[in-house]
Amino acid sequence: MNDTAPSPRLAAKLHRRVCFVMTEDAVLAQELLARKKLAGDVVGRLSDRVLLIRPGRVEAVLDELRKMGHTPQVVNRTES
Amino acid sequence: MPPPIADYTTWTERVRETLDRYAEPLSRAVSARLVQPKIGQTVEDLADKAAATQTNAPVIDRRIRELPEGPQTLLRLVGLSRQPIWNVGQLITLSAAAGHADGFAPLQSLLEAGLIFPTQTPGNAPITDFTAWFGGAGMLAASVFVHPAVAARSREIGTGEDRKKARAAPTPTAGGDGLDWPLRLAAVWQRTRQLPVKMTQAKLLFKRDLTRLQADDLLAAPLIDVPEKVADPGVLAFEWAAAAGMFRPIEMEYHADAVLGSWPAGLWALLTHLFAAFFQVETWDPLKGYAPSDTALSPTATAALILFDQMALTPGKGKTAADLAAPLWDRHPSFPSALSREAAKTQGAGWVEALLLTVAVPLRVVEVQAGEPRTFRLSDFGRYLFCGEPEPQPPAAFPQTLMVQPNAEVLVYRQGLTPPLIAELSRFAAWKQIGPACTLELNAEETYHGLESGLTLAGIKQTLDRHAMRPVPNNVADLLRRWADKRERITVYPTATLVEFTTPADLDLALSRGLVAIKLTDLIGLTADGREPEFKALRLIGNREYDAKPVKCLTIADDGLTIAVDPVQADLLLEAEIARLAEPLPVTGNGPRQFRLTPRTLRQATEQGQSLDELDRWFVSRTGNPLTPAGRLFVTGPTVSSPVTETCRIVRLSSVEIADGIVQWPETCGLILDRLGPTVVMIEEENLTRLREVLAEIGVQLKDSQPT
Repeated sequence: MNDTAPSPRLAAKLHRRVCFVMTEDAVLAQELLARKKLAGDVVGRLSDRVLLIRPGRVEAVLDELRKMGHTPQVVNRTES
Repeated sequence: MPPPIADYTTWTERVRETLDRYAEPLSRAVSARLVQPKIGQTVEDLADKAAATQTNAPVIDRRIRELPEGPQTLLRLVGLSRQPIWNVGQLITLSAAAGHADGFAPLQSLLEAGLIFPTQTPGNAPITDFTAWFGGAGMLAASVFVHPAVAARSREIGTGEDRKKARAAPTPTAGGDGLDWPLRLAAVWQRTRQLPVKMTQAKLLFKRDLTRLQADDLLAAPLIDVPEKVADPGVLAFEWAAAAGMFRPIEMEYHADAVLGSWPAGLWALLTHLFAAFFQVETWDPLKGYAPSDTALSPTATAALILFDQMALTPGKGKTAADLAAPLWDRHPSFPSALSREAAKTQGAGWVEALLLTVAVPLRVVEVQAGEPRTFRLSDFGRYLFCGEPEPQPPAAFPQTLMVQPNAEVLVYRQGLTPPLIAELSRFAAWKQIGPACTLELNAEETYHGLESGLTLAGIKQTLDRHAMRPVPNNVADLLRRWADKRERITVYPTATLVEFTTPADLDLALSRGLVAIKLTDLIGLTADGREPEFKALRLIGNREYDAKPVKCLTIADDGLTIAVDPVQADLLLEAEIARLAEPLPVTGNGPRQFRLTPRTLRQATEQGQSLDELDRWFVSRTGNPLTPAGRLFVTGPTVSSPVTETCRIVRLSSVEIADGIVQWPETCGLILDRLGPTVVMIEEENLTRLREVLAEIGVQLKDSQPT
């Protein structure tokens, strides 16, 4: 008999093509939200460190972050 | 972007696609010039074979030799240029300047022979006739391409006989390191990475960007090989870099690629690549600098090619600029007219000298011999390009060629610079000075660009260590680390896939199994690179596109305030949106997540600028109905005039007919304050007696209700 039963598959829902910003800490996220131009492109806060970005506004958000003096790391960018 | 020259397969595919755009009779006729057609052979099969023949050297050699002298010369010049794509107007000019002033005819012969192909078709109609195609596309817009394998054969045949002497000529050696222009192109690539360059509809530089390029001191640094001032060096560097494929056009802007990926590794390969790209520079003139024209083609590319070809006839012998300009003045159709009045006085000798000194000599195609007047001849690299000589030996390698200084500047000696090192340094350090020794600056912005282009901090340090004559100072290493750490503070995921589990325990399990690497919330996880997780360990219960239209995923209870979430249909935006309108309720058992509209939450929403219309639209998109009456009460209640309490009498009638009669009869209707229902009316206290009397007159007795 085989003792190792296969692990049950976990029920999950996928959210594809999500655009968001993750900060090192909650204070930094709060700092970003205090920036009026950025706040306009933030549609919500998934957690205290994760800000959801309006679809199609990622380049504007990146520009604004750079204007603020940040050097955001961009993960898995696909060419549009 | 055209494929790389060495990628014969893609060029062959391009030939095959072009044959598909020909009308069948033309496709058959062109293919039949390359391969022997068989009876019953389909046009597709014939085109396949014709495309494949492009790399068949013996067949192509025979076809080229069968051509008349004019088309053969034109094809040879195209081959020598190493540039596979040419404007038709330029080729007609080139043909005339080479002594074959037959207009479109030489090019038409090459098109009909299947040795050159149109790059584009105006409209979607198939090409039935090359003259008609040229007429439709126009002199300034029509362009053609030649398969690099055919170009190589035309070069070989062209340098096979009449240039034997050239191969046997003495081989003088001189000239600079060939890096003057590669360094400027790297610098202009860096400038464009910082700020993209905008183009107008007519594909000209915007005034702001033109001024920026013209005023750039780094790009205007003196050439080290010759003491000649370049006209608009910044503009030439930009146009040349664009022609060399170092930028990506996005809408009306040029953006720099993340890396200088199109640069070949060896010096001669890079110089050959840039040499070929120069023939695509259309808006630069050796004397005038930036000189765009929307009515005529620039003579620079064609005149340069003719000049080099002439020099190849007597490669060992120096010629003056006046000697070289004479045939151009006599035969080149647009050369005399493009010269200024001043330049025309010397019949273009000044123009030729400027071109050779500022482009050909720094690119090591030509070498200049001192004297009065000075003379020019092909260099060893120029003879490799035009006389079929072997490629020159690569320059001696000096791997340790830079010094990182404590002020974060990098001093680079040119003897050890190579194309890969220029490309690598350009990714993470800013060019500050170009000269016999070059200077770069390490700074936060460039380090960031380097890391964004895929480099790692360890990779940057390794590059510096490998080429440094002394160890990188500790303070500079610390700076690099600090700049790199700063990048870790904010991470942007432009298009990630989030995995939402049904319980926090499932998410923890997924983390322990490595299905996801990052925990974003109690339920949502993410793989390390934001890509999709392994599906075999998951049972998908839903799949939502973040940028898709919102779907109905909420159900409202009868109280009009309690909202239940459909977990399968819900999306991430819902989480953000609903939190602004309602407060979460504790989850009970396996029941759905619920929220409740409260006066406070709805008041907050309106205070944050949400109008009733916007709320209605959101509720319609998420529930199928507008905001519930209870919800509307919370929203509009505080804004309308205050309700008033009154003491009135309610009269309950025995039937609807009686109530209708009372409301209609003029004697009684004036006494009624309001009708509250089918059988209920309301009257003021003081009218009760009068109503009782009037109804009594018609035999209806109004009774008082019994007190309970």
